Amino acid sequence: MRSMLKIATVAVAMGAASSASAIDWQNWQGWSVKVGVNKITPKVQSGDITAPAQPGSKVDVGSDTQPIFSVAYAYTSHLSVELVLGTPYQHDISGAGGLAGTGKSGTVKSMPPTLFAQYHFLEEKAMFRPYLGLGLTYAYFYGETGSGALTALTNTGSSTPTTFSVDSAWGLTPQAGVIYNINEKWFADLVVTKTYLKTTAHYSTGQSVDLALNPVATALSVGYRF
Amino acid sequence: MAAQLGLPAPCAAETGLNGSVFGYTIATHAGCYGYAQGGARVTNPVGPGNALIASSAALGQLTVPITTQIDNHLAAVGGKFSGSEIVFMMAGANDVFIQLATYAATVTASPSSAPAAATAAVTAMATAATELAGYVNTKIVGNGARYVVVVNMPDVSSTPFAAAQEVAAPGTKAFINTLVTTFNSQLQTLLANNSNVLFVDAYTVHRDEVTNPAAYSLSNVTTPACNLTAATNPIGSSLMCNAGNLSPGVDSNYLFSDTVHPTPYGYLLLARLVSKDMLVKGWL
Repeated sequence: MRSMLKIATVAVAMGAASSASAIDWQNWQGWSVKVGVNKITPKVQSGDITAPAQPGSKVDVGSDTQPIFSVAYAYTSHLSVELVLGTPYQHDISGAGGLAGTGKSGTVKSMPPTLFAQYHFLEEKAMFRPYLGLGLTYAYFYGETGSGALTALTNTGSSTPTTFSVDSAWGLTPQAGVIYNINEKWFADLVVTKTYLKTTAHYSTGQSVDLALNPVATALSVGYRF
Repeated sequence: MAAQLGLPAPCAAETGLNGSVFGYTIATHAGCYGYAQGGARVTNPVGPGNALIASSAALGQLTVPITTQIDNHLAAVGGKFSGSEIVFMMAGANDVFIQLATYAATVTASPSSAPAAATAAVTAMATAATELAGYVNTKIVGNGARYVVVVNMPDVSSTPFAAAQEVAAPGTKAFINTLVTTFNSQLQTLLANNSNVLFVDAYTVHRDEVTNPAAYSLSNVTTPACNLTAATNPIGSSLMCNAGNLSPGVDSNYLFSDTVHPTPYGYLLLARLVSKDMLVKGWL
């Protein structure tokens, strides 16, 4: 995190230095930042919660929308790298399959920083510039909180609440987006990403469930080139 | 279930035996609303273990039937439910055992009467279900209860008892299943339109536990965990079973404690099912 702040500081410094001159569209190279909102929608494929559970006991994970910000460096007019960060997401976890309708079994927070390599099509000064990217995501899960429903389902008759933890995991994240150049400095960015992310949730009862979360995220941002 | 509702564990409303040997004093306990009785039937006051049955004269279970249990509660609370109670009910298996005994006695006396005796047993189970549904709809919901959990009858034909009967008389297991399903389907039909009733299908899950034990962490679904030999357990029942007189090598994940009753773990699995269905219904 400290090194990220340094990069951001450098970006601001470089922006201050270069903002006086007009951008050389043909050979542009340099820093940009974006701020926006991102909606993450897990496309959950749940395994069965391990014994003792009724067969087909599964879980689902809900979506959340949070602000994001990113720092990007363009090596050429086509190639860039971008680090996307944001405020933590909070996802509701609920029963599915044989547990459908049992309601919220808990919540989990996540921080999924992602580093992308991107290729931008067309010329830099084109009004719309589609781009493709491939990222590496580290999904850090924390703040897992179980509900009374979870205890009733997994630790029936006990006054000890069931707790759980979700393994943090790495995932590959392809993306497809388009930039709309408002002017030389400002641009809008719409991007859809898909993260291939597998994890396991572990319950204090000794049970666990394997999950392919595979979230799809849609982000709309406003960016500024330095 | 009490823990999930944040309530103290319920206490027994009536305890004691009236047998010729054990003779525990019969006592009622004010403020206790757990009416369940070993051997209780839906309507008939003489169930398995009752002193009026020759083989259980020594034991003398009270077997106060469901209908009287409900009457006793209404008498204790002034005739009406407040509407905030959750009423848990489960019945029928003791009617199955009595019908089986009646059928066996009839057929032993007159083998040619088997078809008629079988029909009579099935009819009696349908009648018991009709009566139970009537008590739920009229005596319980009709007197103000709004949350009634009715657990149907687990599959008695999947018990060690039924397996032994099947060995002695092939076809008995299927016959038991007919008695159980007749009762359950009639009960379900007659409670279907009562929105104050949650019908829990323990039968289906019980069958699944027996056919698919690993998913439930069940280690054994065929053998009683209790040592039921006469020397260790004179009445051959889970009533006299505890951690000190189990069969050798038994772990805590057996489904059956004696030939028909679940172990504490078996009951935990049932409680989970009830919890799940109550969550779906929005009652928990």
